[in-house]
Amino acid sequence: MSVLLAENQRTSIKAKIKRASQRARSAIKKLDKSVAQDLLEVYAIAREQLQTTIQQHAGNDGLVSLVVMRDIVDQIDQIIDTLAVQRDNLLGSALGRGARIGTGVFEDAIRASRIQAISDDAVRFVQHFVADDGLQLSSRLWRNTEQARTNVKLAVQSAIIQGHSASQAAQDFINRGVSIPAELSRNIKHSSAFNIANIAGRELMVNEDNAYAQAKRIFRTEINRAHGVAYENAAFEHPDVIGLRFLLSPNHPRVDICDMHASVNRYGLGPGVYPRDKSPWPAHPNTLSFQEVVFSDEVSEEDKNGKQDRIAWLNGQAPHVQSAVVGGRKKYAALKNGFLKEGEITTPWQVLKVKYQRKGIDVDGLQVTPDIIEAESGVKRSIQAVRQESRDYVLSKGLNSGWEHGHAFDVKTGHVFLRKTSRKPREISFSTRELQVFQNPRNNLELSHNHPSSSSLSGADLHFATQKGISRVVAVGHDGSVYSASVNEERKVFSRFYRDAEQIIRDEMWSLINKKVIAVDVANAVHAHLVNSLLSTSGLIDYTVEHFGDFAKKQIDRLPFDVELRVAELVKKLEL
Amino acid sequence: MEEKPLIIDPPVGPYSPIGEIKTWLKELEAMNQSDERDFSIQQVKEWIAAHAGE
Repeated sequence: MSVLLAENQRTSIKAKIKRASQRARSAIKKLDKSVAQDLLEVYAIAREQLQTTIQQHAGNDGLVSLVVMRDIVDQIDQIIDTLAVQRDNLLGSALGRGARIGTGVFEDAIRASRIQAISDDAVRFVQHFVADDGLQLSSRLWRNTEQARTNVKLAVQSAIIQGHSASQAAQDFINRGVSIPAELSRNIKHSSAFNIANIAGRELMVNEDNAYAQAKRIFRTEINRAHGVAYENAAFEHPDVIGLRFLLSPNHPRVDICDMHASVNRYGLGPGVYPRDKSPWPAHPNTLSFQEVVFSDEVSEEDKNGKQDRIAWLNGQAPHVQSAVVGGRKKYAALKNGFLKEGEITTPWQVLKVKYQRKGIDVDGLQVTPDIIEAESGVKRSIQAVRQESRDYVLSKGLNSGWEHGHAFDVKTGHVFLRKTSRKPREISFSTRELQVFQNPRNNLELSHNHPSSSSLSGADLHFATQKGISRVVAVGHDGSVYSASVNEERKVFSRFYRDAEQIIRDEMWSLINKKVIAVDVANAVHAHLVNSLLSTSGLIDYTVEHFGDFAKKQIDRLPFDVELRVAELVKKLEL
Repeated sequence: MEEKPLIIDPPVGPYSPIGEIKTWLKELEAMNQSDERDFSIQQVKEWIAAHAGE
């Protein structure tokens, strides 16, 4: 009897750990979002300080002269130094919180003192971890600071100097009694305090590969690493844990090496399951993947007998999966021609190329012969392949007919549930039986449909996505845009907050329209995207713009503000 | 069997001319009843009310 009780207790703790693992994955996503919001505020404050400093140095003519440049540069240094301290403090605290979410899963199974020690060790591990680029976290943060400092200073100095040169040239024209050419006038305006302040702000937070975007990437990568390392180390303290399963995020946007890690049964423990210290997680920075504990009694005979190496797994995949996992045409050709070895899957082609040349392999002649038999032989398609087919289907059908088309498949099984159109341009209707399938919580349907307007998911789309059998709803714009979302709330709560979010955006946009800052067509085109971004920032939906097509991108570029920053400011108005 | 409109995408936005929004409201009201249609109708009525307030 006591043995049975002990066994029951053991089973109950394992079930608790599984449930807590799921909650921890949600918690770490929430932490990621909340810290991202704090980080945004830290950078936004620095941006404002930069802009205020520059504007305070303007002369009576509104221009910034060469005389004050040194002073501005000194103040930029101070602002960036303060920014770096605040950023590092924020990250330090977030790493600890991420690690504690990981160890908290095992609080019923491990002593409290061990839990704390494992959390602390995980944070230390992250701080000392040397990534593939040879940098530790502190060096990466230092580089981020210096990039911000250099870029902002260079951009500001360059604008002041250009304006100064233009002013001098203009003075020559005036002295000669000749009118100033229009281009010269434009260059003088370039050194207006307003313009330079704008340039500084964009360098810090908007321009391609800006310091803020880089910091955000570092935060997500390292918080997730602290969480994952803490979770892993705590997991293996439990005597029944045999491995960790590499889990793809439900939002995993495209096939990459993570698909292989999550599917290959390399150790005979089941697909994507790795013993201690063998997990390839995290496979890359900014990862959306997680790990989940696997107990010894979960490993089946089939798992034990199904052990395979990664090359064997790759050879069983569809060509587009093989190519996406190994990365690049030449490596794909090396795989297809039998040259690529298991230890070379993640090796960059430039390195492999030299190695192969030494072996006498004709690397220039490496190519893939189209493998018709493989393509048509009914090889089991990956979920990614079905997802792509779903999106391609609604787009091509929509472009041809002008109607809305829907396509739904189950993200767990890849089974295609429906392809449908109601032969109307603005709606798709469903039968009662079809609706029941969408309502069934055992299903995990991803529903794609086309948007002729190329705008983001509508309120009704998201409202429908609250059905229990829908895991994600996707809108494919006729310009190639792809927007997807899942809703984290039940439909009544969602409806209320959707209305509130829409009103906040509407008020904002009406104000800009009335001031003639924004055109009506732009406001209409971006409205749904702004509402969805606001809902996503507040955590009510998980919203992803997987791709902006040409039309959508053009509309976003016409906005007078950076969407992410503006939404971050507006989210405070949404009372949750 | 009657089918319900569950995916609905408006041809207009909240800032479109009020006449176009009202036309869309009429189209919605002509559709078969569904939760998503009702949700859209309420949304469009809010757009119209906001227009009146501008």
